[in-house]
Amino acid sequence: MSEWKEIIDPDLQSTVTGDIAVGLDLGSRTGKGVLLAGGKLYTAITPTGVYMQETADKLLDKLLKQSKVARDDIAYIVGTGYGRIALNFGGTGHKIVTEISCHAMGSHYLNAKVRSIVDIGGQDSKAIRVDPASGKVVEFIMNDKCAAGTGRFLEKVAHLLDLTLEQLGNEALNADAPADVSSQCVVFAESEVISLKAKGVSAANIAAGIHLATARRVRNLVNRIGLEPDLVFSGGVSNNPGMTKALEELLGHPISRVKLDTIYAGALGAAVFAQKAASSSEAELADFALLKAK
Amino acid sequence: MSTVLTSEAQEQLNHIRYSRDTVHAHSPAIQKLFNLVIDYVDDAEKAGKSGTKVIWAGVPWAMPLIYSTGAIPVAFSEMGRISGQEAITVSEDYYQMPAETCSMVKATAGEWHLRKQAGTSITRIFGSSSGCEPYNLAWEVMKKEGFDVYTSDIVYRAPGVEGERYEELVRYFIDEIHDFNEWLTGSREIDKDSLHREIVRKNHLMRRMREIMDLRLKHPFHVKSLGIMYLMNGLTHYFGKPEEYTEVLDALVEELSGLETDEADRRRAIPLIWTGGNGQEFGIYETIDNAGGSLLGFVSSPYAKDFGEDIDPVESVARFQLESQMAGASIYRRHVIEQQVDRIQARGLILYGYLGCSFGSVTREMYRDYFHNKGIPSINLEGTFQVGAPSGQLLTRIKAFIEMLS
Repeated sequence: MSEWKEIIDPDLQSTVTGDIAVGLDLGSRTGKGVLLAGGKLYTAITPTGVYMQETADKLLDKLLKQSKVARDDIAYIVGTGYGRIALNFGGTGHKIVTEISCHAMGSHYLNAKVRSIVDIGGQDSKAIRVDPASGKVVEFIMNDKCAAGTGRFLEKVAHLLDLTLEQLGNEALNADAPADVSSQCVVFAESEVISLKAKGVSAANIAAGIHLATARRVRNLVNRIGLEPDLVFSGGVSNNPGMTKALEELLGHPISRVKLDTIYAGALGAAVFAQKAASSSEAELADFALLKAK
Repeated sequence: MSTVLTSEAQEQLNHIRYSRDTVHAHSPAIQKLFNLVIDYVDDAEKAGKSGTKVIWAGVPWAMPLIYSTGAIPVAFSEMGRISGQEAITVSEDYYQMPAETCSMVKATAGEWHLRKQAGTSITRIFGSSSGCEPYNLAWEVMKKEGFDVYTSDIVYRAPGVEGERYEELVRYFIDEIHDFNEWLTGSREIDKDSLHREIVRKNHLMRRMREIMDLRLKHPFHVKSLGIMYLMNGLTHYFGKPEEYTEVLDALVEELSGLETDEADRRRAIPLIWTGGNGQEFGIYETIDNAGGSLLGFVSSPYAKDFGEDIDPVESVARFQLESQMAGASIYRRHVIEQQVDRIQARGLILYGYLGCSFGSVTREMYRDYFHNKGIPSINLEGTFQVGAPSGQLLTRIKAFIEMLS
């Protein structure tokens, strides 16, 4: 839990309302949640289960417990991410917004100057251009054809190196001569990693090579939409230091540091959309009441 | 031939029924259209069994000529709707087509194989394009399967071809048309009165389509995306029933003309243009509708300009083709897209292609660049020709694209 004023870009703080709003980002590997209430920003994370509604309910429970907010006091919920389609929150106002719009809006609220976003998730990666005036998406491109360039790929390699995903990213920082991993396909990269291990290449150098190979895929996406500063790295892989380093090296551009772990950027964007939806619902209700009074 | 309809294709049929009975419950014209869609191939098979000449045809220019001979064309575009993964598996495993082969080629070849096994009455295939190498492979395979396959040569009008060079192309194309007629009927002689009547019919239908597309600017949600896709498909082949398809368009004009303009709908609609292939992953169309998009522009079958009625009808067919967006170079279609962008004030383009079609992917990139430079955003989608649920990512792309434009 944090004061949202410590996290949200000062230029946009005046647009944050007092409405209690929830954003739930159900990724293919992990679900993330953000709740905005009483000047505070709460976060929750949980592995994505088989049933998306259960994962969403679990996240919501975690957020409600932390914040001590009553379920009925939530003004609006926005769901996003891979598992967003089937979400239902009964009587609470809710809607679905794509993760592309949510990552853009979330990143915008973390850094109002952001124009480019790299979002690497469990099963796809995206490059997004954002309008800094509104946080709206201007252009995006998505790689979903191949597991290379995604979190799932890194997970697979970590397993081959007997490392956790977290260890893989940190291990890459210790490399002195990153291995040349030429394959752009997760299946062939797997045999390449086994071959590198057999040749005695260190885990650190293999890890760095894998991150660079993944980053090369992402670089192509970024080049397609054009890189304009500031650049934010979001999504489930964004807290991997090895990937951050590889991206900065290949893109030749620093990644902006913000005051929230950017794996929550999508959920924050969803919460911002939820606040906006709550405000417009209230405005509509007020109009309706006015109309009835007339 | 419902015996060979896979469960995937049955699901797709159910989706069409759902669109007919629920999504378009307000539109008798679109309900009738969907009935034509559902019955097209089955009824053509029945007609073939009872002695009518029926052919598989993938050549839009030939449709009026085919009808003028009393034959029924079954368009390749409809094969995607009735074929699924089983057809793909046949092509990849039985015919050993590489997995990366165009999904349209794999789906049609596999479906023909399955239909042959099931005793199809439609055993003649008319294909175009000696330039599409994967289809050339499929034609050879189908000949070995016992199909009577005929292909006409591409008549490609390069940009800038005018004067005598153009007239030479027209003469060559007229010769190709007679060659095709000989294969179809056994004679090079074309019944010109009958062809003229078909041209008059086609002109009537294209005028109707222009009226419909104009009226839709006032009523953007009356016909949803799936309905528009099938309306446009039908303009090429009439679903084997020209009179009934004509009734659909006439009724739809009447329906739309009788509606009061809903300003809220007009403001809410996000005008989009669809161009490229027509995918059979119906969830894509539903996602467009649910996100507030409206396909007010659709660039597939040409309908902007009539066939000449005051010249020899065979020459009229040739000139129509060579002066339309289907004359070869992608720049012709780009012009049509551009006209539609202006006409509907399009906010975005959906560029759709089939997995594995290298020709289509190059064209889509060219369109993307061109319209991007003009400030019109586009989304490049690749899907399967055959039926199947669209991937979650494909739907995410469409929804995000429309969110971006809203």
